Amino acid sequence: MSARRWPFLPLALRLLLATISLSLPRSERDEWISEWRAELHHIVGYGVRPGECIAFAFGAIPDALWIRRHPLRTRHRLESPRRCLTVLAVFACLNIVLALLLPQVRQDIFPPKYEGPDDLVTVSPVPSVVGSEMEVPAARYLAWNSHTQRELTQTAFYYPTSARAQLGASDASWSVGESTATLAALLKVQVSDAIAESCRRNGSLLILLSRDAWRRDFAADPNVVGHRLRLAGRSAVIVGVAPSAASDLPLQMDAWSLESDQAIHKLALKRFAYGYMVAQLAPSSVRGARQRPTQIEMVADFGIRTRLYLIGLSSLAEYHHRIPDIDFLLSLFVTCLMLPAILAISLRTGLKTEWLSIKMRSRGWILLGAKVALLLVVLYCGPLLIAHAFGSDSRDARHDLQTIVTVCACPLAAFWIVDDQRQRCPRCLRRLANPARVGERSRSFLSFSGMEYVCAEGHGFLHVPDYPTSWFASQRWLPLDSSWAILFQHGR
Amino acid sequence: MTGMAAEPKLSHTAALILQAIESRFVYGFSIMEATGLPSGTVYPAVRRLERDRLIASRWEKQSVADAEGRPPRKYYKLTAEGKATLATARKRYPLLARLAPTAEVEHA
Repeated sequence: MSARRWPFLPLALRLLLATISLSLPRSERDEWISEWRAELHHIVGYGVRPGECIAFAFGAIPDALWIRRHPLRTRHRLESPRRCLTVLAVFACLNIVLALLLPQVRQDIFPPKYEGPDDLVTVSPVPSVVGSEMEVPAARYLAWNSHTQRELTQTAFYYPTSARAQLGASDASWSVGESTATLAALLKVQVSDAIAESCRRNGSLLILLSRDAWRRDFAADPNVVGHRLRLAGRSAVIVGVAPSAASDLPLQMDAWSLESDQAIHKLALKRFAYGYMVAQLAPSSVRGARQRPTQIEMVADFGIRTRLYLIGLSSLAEYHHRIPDIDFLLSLFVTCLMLPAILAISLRTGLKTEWLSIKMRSRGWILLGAKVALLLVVLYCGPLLIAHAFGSDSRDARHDLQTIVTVCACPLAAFWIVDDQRQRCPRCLRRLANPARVGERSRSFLSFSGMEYVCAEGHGFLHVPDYPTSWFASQRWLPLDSSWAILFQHGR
Repeated sequence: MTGMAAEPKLSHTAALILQAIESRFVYGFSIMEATGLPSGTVYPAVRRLERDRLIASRWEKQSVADAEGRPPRKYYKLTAEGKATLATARKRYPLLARLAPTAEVEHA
């Protein structure tokens, strides 16, 4: 059977070729597809069987792969400084637009105004400059709580666990904080006495639902209070929905189970019962919105002895709004610390440009500054987008992923910036081309062995020795005068 | 200076394709027919031979193609360097010469 009897086949194969051609550099694409289409036209007219036609067209894939690996023409993607900045600017704009279009990402960049109580703080066992994401042992909390603290009026503690929640027909895996009963009062959630009494009689857990879980698993049902479910095999009753301020507590929880004092004491007996402590500042400690104490002294009562602790406080209002920015700045700081190593392992070191005019040198610095500025935008928005695309629903998990991506991406970006800058002609800022190995390693007397790069515009050669010798200690730029221009006409 | 004296090493497939082109199988599909090699082998090999300047390509004149109502084709021919390399390859692969030398008509 001839391919001519299958009228759609040539069209389908042309479509296949067009699709494959998209993988090729634009400079190669037109000629490549013209050749393949001509061949296909010939084959179809030749009366070849459909299967052979298809096999022939699929041969375009290895051909395209070969061209991708061995481009027949020089690629000019980021060669000129203008092209390089354009590509980076487009990429940065794309990141910004995507980040602003996606509501969740936009919320991370511009967090909504904090609407919770101003006097709520998280407590850290040691004063910390990066917030109070420090866990507190349950036993230490009980020791602090047993003594009246002058600066704090009320405290709460929760121990993060995970549990299976049976919500009628469906199941969900929840992050649950086993918390003291005081947490509801701290978050200004009124627990119905009737429901609490009923739960105590039945031995049911009292559940304070997070706003996210309420929206996600209960479709924001306004009558969710009193709803019964099973949590970790135990009967439980929802006693309220936490305000949105609760999402600023350390570790994002789906729910908090309000435990009895006995249960918290039992928890404190565990060896590694570390949780988080929240407190309400006494009115005498709050002197205006910007004058909250960041550290206070607290007395712990251990029965036969008491002990004084200096603890750190972090306002709930500032807690999560501050952390992502700090992580980003820390990543940049770590990258700055790595800069000497990056400078050492990149292609060349310390290109001397004193012979250039100040104007030319400043162009190089402007290009460098623009690249840094655009990449900072990408480094800020990109990891956020990745975290939202691949992270889980949990904000903390997303935040961890964002931090990991940022920490990995910052040194790579710094390396690329340095490497790209050093591979550019100091005069026209185009990428140097045609690397060639020159010399012999055994001949270093009045000679050098290393790599030679040439500016395609004919401005000069860059000689980079493989190893420094007394004759050739560092790379040298060999400027070419205009008499060489005729040799470089094809490069322009 | 490298490779001035050294002869380029040619695989049997590449030598087969050079032989086909010399026998005036001058475009991709005819090379496939002459050698029995699939398109996924022939075209990348042709690109490599062209890159190594053993063959040269040129496009058929548009007027010729238009007259026959088809798209113009890309033709390949051996360069002087390609001929010398093929001659060396024939010594290495004596059976190459048995490739049927039926000439393809090239439309100028």
